[in-house]
Amino acid sequence: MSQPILFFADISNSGMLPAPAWSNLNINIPINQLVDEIVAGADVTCSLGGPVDIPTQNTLVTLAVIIDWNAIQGSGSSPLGTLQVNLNSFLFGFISELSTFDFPAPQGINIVTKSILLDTLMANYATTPTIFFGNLDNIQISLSVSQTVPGTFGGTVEFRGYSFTVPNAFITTLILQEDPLLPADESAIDGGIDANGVPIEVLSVDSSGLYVLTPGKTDDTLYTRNVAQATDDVAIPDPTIKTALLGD
Amino acid sequence: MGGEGILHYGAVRMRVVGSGSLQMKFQSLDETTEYSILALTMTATTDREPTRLANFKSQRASLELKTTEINEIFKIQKIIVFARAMFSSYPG
Repeated sequence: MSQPILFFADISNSGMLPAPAWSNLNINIPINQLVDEIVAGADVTCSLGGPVDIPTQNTLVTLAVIIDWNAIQGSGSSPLGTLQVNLNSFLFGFISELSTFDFPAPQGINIVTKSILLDTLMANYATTPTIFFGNLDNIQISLSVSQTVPGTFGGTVEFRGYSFTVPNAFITTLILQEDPLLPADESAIDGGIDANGVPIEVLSVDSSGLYVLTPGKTDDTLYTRNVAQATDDVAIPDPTIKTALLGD
Repeated sequence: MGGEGILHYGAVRMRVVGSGSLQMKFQSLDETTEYSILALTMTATTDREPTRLANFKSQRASLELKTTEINEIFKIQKIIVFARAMFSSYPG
């Protein structure tokens, strides 16, 4: 099971500049500052952060980059026989994955995975011993063309569902901050039991064991169960004799 | 009397030693009626055989003796119940 972090980068610009102007155009897609107009050389970074737990073992963690993209050619002739879309994803500052798709690229979901040992991860990312924040602050998506576009490329280029699947080890966990519900004091407990860590002595009404007749002893012996070897002397329940019926 | 006559149980005398208070009472058949007698304060040794008066009328009666507090004991060697016939029978 993994926890996806999803965001959508939707670039829509029907008024792109002519292709010669954006040859080798680099687009850094922001998360919260989507640009309306793609400008060459734009450099906008995004950041996603959240507390993640560090696993204690050196496990192989896999980061998956899922790209669901849809490139729609607008009006006009095709600018290129082949348009390469290079995807560079820098996750946590240490994973770089370069994927190349031909244009028109296969639409739908494309998944690129990258695995890395946890020790390597830790070595590449200075963290505190117990928790760190994985800032996705170097997400870069580069669009580049391999040659000058002869015509005008209009239409819409969309990137949707650029998501990072985080392995189990990085699942964000909830930390219960509230103190457990405890009574204000012992008097708040029904019955007013005052144990204070000491076992409560309760006289057992069904004490078990051998009943020992002790010469001269004029009471019963009740063994308590909560205290070893402790006994209590209790009255014999109303010793009674009764004569036969008289007057016959 | 054959058990049908009504007797008057007037006193109890006994030889008893012990400690504490000896509770006594007469009880009729099926314990339908009873009469409590003044308790006896017992001692470990005594030269007396105390007598307690009673006023209980019944065809048959039994005498119950008991203690109710812890460490009260009694040892009885003799019980004398004073009874006298009062009536021959209840009306038929």
